[in-house]
Amino acid sequence: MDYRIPEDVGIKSVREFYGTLKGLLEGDETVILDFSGLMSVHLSVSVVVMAAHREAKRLGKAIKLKNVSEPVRRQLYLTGFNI
Amino acid sequence: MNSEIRDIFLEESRETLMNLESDIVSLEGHFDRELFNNIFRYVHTLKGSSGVAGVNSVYEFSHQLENLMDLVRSERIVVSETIIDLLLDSLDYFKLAIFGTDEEIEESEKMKEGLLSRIFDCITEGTGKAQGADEKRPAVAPARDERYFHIHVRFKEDIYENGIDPLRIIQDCCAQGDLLERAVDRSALPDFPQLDPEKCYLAWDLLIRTEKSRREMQDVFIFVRDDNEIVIEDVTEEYVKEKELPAADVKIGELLMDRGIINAEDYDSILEAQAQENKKFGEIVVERGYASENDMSRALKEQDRMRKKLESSTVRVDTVKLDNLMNLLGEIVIGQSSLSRIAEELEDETEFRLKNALHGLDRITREFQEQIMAIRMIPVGPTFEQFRRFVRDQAKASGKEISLVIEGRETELDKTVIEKIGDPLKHMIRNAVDHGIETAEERKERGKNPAGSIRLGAYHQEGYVYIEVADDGRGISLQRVREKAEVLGFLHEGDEASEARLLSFLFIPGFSTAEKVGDLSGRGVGMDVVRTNIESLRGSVEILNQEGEGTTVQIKLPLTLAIIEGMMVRVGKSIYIIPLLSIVESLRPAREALKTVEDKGEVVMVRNEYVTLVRLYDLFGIPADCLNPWEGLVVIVESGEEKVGILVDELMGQQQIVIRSLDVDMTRSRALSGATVLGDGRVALIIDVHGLVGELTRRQA
Amino acid sequence: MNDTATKNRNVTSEEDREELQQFVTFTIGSEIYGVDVLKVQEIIGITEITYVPNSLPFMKGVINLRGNVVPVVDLRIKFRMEEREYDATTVIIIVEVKSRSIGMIVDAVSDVIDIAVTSIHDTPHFSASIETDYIRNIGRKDDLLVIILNVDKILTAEEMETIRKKEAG
Repeated sequence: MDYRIPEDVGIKSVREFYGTLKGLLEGDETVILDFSGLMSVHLSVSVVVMAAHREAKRLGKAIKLKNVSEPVRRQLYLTGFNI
Repeated sequence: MNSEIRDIFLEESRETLMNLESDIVSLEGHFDRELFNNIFRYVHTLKGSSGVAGVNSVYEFSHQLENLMDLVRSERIVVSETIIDLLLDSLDYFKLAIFGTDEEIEESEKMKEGLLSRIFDCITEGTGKAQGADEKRPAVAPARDERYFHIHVRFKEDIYENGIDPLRIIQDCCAQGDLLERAVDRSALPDFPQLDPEKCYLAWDLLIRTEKSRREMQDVFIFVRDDNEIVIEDVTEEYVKEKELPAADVKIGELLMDRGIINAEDYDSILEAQAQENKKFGEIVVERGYASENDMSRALKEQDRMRKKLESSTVRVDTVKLDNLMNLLGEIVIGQSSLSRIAEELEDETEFRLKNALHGLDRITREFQEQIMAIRMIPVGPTFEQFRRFVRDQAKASGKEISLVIEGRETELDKTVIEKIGDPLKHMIRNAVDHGIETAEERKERGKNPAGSIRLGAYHQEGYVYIEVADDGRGISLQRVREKAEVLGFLHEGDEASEARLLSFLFIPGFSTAEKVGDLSGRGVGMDVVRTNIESLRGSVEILNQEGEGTTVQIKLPLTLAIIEGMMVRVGKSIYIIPLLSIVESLRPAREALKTVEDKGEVVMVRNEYVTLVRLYDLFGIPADCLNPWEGLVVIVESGEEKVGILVDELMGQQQIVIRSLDVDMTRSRALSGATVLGDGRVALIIDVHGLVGELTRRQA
Repeated sequence: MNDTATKNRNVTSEEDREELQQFVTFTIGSEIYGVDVLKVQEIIGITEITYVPNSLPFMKGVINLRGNVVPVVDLRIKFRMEEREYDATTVIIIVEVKSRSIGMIVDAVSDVIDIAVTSIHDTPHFSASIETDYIRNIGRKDDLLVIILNVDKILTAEEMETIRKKEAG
């Protein structure tokens, strides 16, 4: 199922975002995170995505990212994603 | 919000905005990359600190402004009047949003909306034209050596709490050049279920190739350099094989090149010679006559200073701690003087030894005092710079063309003084703009440059700091002052009055404001206020006037407010301190030298000059031994133009005095400025010479 | 900080009837006065006082308190009582007023006593004059009547104003 990340996700809402991802990981085999509309991400957000990514692998599931804008891609790259 | 954080934020913002303002205004004259980078940094600072303080509105706005500025920095947008106006308006927004009242903050939100859409316009318009700009962009800067930096960064776990997004900093860092390698250390990252999303677990190792200096790279981390692990290593050597030279010599050579003392050819040939002769770079420079030994040693000093600047780290200290330190030092000084007293009383060979030891101690204490005072001293530059905008606005409002010249910005003043001279300076500058400088037409008629000029300068001289506001305007018309003084009854028609006397009328409250201000064609607005403010800092104000050519108002301030050299004088059983710097001389007058003059009261003739006599016992209502001046001593003191003779019983010697403030409520006498503790533990009051003279004038009036 | 401590204690005292408050008591003439112990910094013997010209009559001057210059007030003069030579029992009580130190010269210190909050009463109205403003309450300990001073009011703005006018005129 696609999950559209809220455009205003940031440090203030990262805990909530983390909770949502946790929930999503308990369900579907493949979680698709939709980054549309996001022009930048806070480090905390990308770290949550990264940790979730690792967790998914461990569980034999997958997290995929879509509609990642160029600025966000660059940010994710700097956070350690190889995309 | 935590009030301490808020206070720090306010304090920092004030500083930042001040710098920002002067840099933006300077930018208007000519675009300067360095200046623009400064502005960018200040906005960045503001963003960082507003984030920390949780002032989100300011944070978000500065973020957007920074985006725009980033485009300018990367030369995708050209700096134009529009951008400078936008910057200035943003500055006004910042001021309102940070320091405003609730209502003003609300208003600032509206401003913000307008500004944001202007920023948006600039970005879309600017980048549209970007290609064109890009093509035109020549290789202006001579290709500087590229350097390779290895940067290791590990943020503290709770970095987010500071309102800082470390990712932005990493991005900033990478934007300084080409990112060649990036490794993210995720070893500290917990498994997803144990993750605390509000903590930072990552560390970075980056390799960047850039033309930037190490200093510039360090600046990127300016907000996070404390508490975080940041290592910037210049690894150029590993990537580029260069001729190996001792680092310091390369630098001194570059420094000399910068100053135009040697050129690139000289530089190379010196390096060659150096390789053969095994001499220092500087020695060869002097030997070959490229620079005098003086020039060389100055350059070496500068190099040293630059190096120190590079290496030294700074600490923010609460000024209360400095005050405490100063107080403690004061107690040491007191303790020392009581030891000296004991030494005086001894009459054996230990006296000599003790005195010697005390002499050594005295030297150290003085040095110590200088060092502490140096900590309190800050350059006057930023205070001066903030007037650029003021002059610009005032000049525009009055339809005049005025440039502000700032001199001696590196002159250092006590922090307390810096805080208190802002208002008086503002008064003085406003006077210069409003009344000093003529309109462009008037100036042309007089054969002057149509653009007026105001000079704001500072310098040190003989234990004082001088601050001057000078304009090249029309000057003060002494004739008009005279007329006014006669109307107000300070002078009778035909009375002789020196220029100094006439100018001194300007300091009388309400003198110039009593009628239309323009009448005086000079200054006057609030000069009494200026003087009161400056005197509260134990300083004085003087007007130097050249009719038709301009006016200079000169402020003279003591270097420090805490310790002075004082002369102890005795009246009966009381000891008073007279600041040594105010004393002209002391003498025992002949009986015949005393007179009573009609409007001056009792005077004593000193070197063909009548000096008003003050009987201290009379003024203070205390007993004294000597009621007759020819039996006691008269200490002649000076305040501005005015001299006064103070009658005392005897002089008790001079001493360093630590000033303790006297409770302002305690006395109504303006002749006392504070107290100090003497070596024997007694308290002595300090005589305020300006106040004393003022009190006398008041009595006579 | 002291203020808060006092306040807190007063608050709890409403619940706890046995709550006590501590006072430093001293004498001037035959009267016993008290000041909140939390306001007292220290008590020193009479020391050399430097006269400050043109000050209020009850301002005796300033003293050196370990390198700090502290003003001292003679309570006898302040209370319009006859002046008396200082002697061996005369002491200066250093109190903190608005984070500044002020010395009060009194005839003698008697004790530190506990007074039940319940036996502290409002000042009977001597007069509505500002001059008794520094008397906060009257406390009773056994058969002792203690006049509790409000040291914050020892120097009132009105008094300062009076002297200013007097001097100016």
